[in-house]
Amino acid sequence: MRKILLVLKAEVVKQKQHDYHSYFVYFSLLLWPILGFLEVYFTYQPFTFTGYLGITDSRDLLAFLGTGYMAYTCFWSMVQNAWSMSWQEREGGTLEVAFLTPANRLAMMYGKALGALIQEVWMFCCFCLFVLFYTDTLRWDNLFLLPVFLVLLLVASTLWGGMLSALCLYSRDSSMIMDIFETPMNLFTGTRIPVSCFPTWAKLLSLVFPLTYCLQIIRLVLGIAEPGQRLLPSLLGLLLCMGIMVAVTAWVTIRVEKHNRETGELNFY
Amino acid sequence: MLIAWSTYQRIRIGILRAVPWSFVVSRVLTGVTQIVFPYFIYRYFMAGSLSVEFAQYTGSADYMTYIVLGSALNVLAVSTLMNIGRALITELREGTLEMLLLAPASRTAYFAGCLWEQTLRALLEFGATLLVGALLGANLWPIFSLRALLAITLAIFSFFCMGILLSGVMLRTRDTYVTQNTLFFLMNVVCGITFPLQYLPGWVQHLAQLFPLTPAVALFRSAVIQQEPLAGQLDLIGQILLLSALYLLAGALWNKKLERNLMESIFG
Repeated sequence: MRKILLVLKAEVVKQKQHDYHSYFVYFSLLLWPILGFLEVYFTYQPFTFTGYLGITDSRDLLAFLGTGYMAYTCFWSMVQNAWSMSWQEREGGTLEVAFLTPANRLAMMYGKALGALIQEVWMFCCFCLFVLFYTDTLRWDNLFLLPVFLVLLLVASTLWGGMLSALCLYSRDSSMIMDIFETPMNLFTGTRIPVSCFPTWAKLLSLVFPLTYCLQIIRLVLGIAEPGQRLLPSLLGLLLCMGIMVAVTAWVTIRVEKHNRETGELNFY
Repeated sequence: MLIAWSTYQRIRIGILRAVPWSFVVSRVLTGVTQIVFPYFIYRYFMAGSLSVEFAQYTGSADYMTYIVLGSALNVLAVSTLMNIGRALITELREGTLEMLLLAPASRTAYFAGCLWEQTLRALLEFGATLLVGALLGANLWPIFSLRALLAITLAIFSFFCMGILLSGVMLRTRDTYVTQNTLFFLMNVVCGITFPLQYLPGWVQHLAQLFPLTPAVALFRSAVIQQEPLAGQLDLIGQILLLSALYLLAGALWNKKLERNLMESIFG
């Protein structure tokens, strides 16, 4: 256990030293999600509100989008980080070294995702403050929920990021995996549009993503949900989803290492 | 001509052999998302309840055509800016910049080769986005007209000019990821891609006029939706040409200065 924690910590520190070298990086971490958020908000402008999900004015809409983005940015930063780190390891030639160490492979994968930890907490706080002060969905009496949300999002997004970073190690052309997973994640999980108004095929697709369940849970607790929706199915769905992700990550990691031994340049073999 | 052709060949072979899918998939998906997201709001969430202002601002109530044209041109802008902008820094990363700078080949021909190579790929992405848009109900037949094709050509030229400056900026900062994403996120918000500019605050609308994409997308929409002849849009055309000239000039001057510095700083 101690060794696993050591590996996790090493990965996080490594990434921090590698990526956070200039103020520009921190700046863009806040700037991009805000610009993305604004784009989505203005895309809604040409419409008149229909009162669906109790969204009747732009303030309700902001609360809905704010919670969506709060969760989405956590997943997004994990995914971006996992991808860029796998890429840098490949280009920098340290992938080989990583495969030769006795470190636990799964811990390495999750460490790569967790490298986004600082970034994630930072953006989470920004969006939370926004939601808190502007839209009244978070009040002083339910403030204790914030750490609960953070832990929920951290666990789910780390497992997700670990899975993608394992997939990314397979080939140098695998950044498309990132796009295939990320764009639909933004669209179908209910970050920007409520899942309940989707047609059936899109609803089915949304079940694949852990973010869907996280968002359902968060919005249900905050009271932005259809009446009659219950917590238990979402929780069970999330647990099942996380189980599958861990299994996939473990399997892919073994496959990737085998594949790299055959195609990569491992001098020791 | 020979230089442009060999640049074309070299980049093409490199891309086909090393990373045939990555960027194409990413940009088509981005374009398609930019269509599908408003489509979902329009069709499922808001059930077609467009406000009156939309028709006033755009001169048409055809929401899907408006969105599809914007997103498709945005895809074209992003891929042109990205491919031209990343040209020099990719050379640096792959270790061929030194040879390029020492070679007697002209930079103009080199960039022309890059443009030629990337336009074919970019048009593929553009076409794919339009196709998805047509399937979702956009009325795109007027695209097959001389004025629409001229508008597209003019747009590609202006993106190319901006890309030249971008390539200098990227080479100077040694960064592609932060620069390109900040630029593209900004363009998505301010250039009127998925909503009319008029919804934005006044100063942002003025800022938007600095990006060639803003007049280019307005021209493209007027050519396809309103089917106005280009002669009626001389102000937009003038703005595109002026911006192109400014970006091209700034890019050329910057790159020239940068080249001198690079020779001193990174090569032995």
